[in-house]
Amino acid sequence: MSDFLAFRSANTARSFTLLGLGAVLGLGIAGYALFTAPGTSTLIVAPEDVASVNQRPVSRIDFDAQLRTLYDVSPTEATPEQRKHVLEAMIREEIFVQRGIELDAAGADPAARAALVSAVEQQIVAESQTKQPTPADLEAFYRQNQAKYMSEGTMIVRDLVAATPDQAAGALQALRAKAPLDTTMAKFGLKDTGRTKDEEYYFAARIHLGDADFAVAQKLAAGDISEPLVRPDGVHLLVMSRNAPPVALAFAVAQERVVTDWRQANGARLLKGDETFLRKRANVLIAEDLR
Amino acid sequence: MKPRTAALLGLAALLAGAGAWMWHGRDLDRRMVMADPDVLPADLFAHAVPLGRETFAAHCASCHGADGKGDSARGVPSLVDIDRLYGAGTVGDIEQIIAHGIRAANGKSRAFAIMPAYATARPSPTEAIPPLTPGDISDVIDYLLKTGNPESARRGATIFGDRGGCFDCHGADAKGDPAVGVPDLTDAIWLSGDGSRDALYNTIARGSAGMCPAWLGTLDARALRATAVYVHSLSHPATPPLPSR
Ligand code: HEC
Ligand code: HEC
Repeated sequence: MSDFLAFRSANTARSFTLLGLGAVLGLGIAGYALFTAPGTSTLIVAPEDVASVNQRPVSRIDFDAQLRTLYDVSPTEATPEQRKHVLEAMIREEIFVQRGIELDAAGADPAARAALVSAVEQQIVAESQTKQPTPADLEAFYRQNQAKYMSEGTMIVRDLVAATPDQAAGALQALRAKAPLDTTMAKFGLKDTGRTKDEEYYFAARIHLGDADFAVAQKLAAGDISEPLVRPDGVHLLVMSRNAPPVALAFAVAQERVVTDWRQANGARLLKGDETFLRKRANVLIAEDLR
Repeated sequence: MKPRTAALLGLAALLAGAGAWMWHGRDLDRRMVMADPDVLPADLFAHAVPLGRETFAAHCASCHGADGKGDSARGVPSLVDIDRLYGAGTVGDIEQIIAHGIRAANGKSRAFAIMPAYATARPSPTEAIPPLTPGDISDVIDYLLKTGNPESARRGATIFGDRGGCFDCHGADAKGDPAVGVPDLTDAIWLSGDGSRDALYNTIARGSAGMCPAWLGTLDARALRATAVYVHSLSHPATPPLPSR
């Protein structure tokens, strides 16, 4: 024993013992790493999975989600039958997906192709979503796209129609001389078309009046009356009582939508970039007649 | 005993201790990941919280704030209150949200409804919802905030429960629907803005569809679970134990 620990002198038994110990330790570490590292093929199901099908994991988090969706239960609340049913369904799905890949289902089936395209697009975009834009990013985007961040614009306008140009001209003259609306309408036989009433957003007034008449209305200030507009159904006068054109929204008011739009634009940019890269990487040959 | 012997024995003991410690940590991780998130035992809870706090600071604080109180100017909800947009707010519910996100780019993300923009020609891109007039929106705000005169609030109630279609998502009682992530409009907790008339107008006229990223893939199962436990603990300071259903 004292020889064994006399490190200054050589000792065969000690050498072999240490060698053996080293070997066992090394094997132990290697084995441990092999059986526990994520993504390795083993006979053990990793704790984050509920099954493994040809070494592809069936994840526990999906299993939980399925139990919640199907039965509204957590894993311990679920009955053994519920757990078995969900597990079997998930294993079946994995087996069929794997078989689908073997059979190259995406080669022919349009639904599988569309799903794959969409999944790849989403994955590209998803990578960018965890990033929160800086205030500087947002303010720059807000300024560049100012036209998107405007208030709606509203108007209160009445659309009156006369049978003849003379009646319309008479009414216009009276109204501009501040005659009361009701008596003027009665006197010149004007009718309210009812195309617009109450306060309306610009988009609604445009739909109700039509593009041409809306363009006229948009230029009227409160109290203005349009020139007579000759239309198939008679001669119209637009009487404007309030016109609030769109104004820029403050950044603080628009901020939430700026974040959404910024993210969308960022995602679209990434998608385009990845597409260019993939296209460059691909070996695409085009038939002679289509070149 | 020779000093060398003592040193060797000490080293061995240290190695064994470190091994046992690592094994213990891994065992806790393994049990934490395998446990039912809604009924986590106390030792796993204690193991999860510091881990979750770290992950939260690294990945979530940029939007939800270091204290988890959110940012209503950007429509990011507070995670400190018990008001939940989605689900019952159990650890399991929270974990599913963290894994797949809300309106994030993946097939499993929660994306059931968006808040339509009622001051546009086509308020919803997917549903046939008619727009409202400025007067309608003002009435409906009177109804929600109990302001204005009884007449306008009554008109607002009709719009809410009928032509505006609000009831369809927010419920006839306006208390929202956690199954589809539609907020309660009767409480004092607001996702977007401060609950003022202007803030409500901003949402009702221009819509809202907040996005929380998906973290499955970025975070492993262990970090996901730990973060879910931590987020749950923000609104349930007295936990564990958790059976919250
Ligand atoms: C298609 C479903 C749907 C309809 C219809 C709908 N909402 Fe919403 N609403 C939502 C969703 C979803 C949100 C949350 C948006 C988000 O997460 O960003 C929301 C948010 C809101 C908010 C903001 C709440 C907060 O906490 O900040 C208000 C206010 C609101 N809605 C009012 C209304 C009114 C009033 C109507 C009817 C005129 C209406 N909603 C119709 C789905 C809907
Ligand atoms: C890019 C910004 C962003 C990041 C980063 C982010 N979130 Fe979110 N999160 C949001 C927004 C916005 C919502 C609200 C979505 C909506 O309108 O429905 C949300 C909603 C949630 C909800 C639902 C709240 C409820 O009331 O039901 C939870 C839980 C959540 N986030 C947790 C997290 C965790 C945990 C992380 C980090 C791993 C994280 N989020 C990272 C923006 C973010």
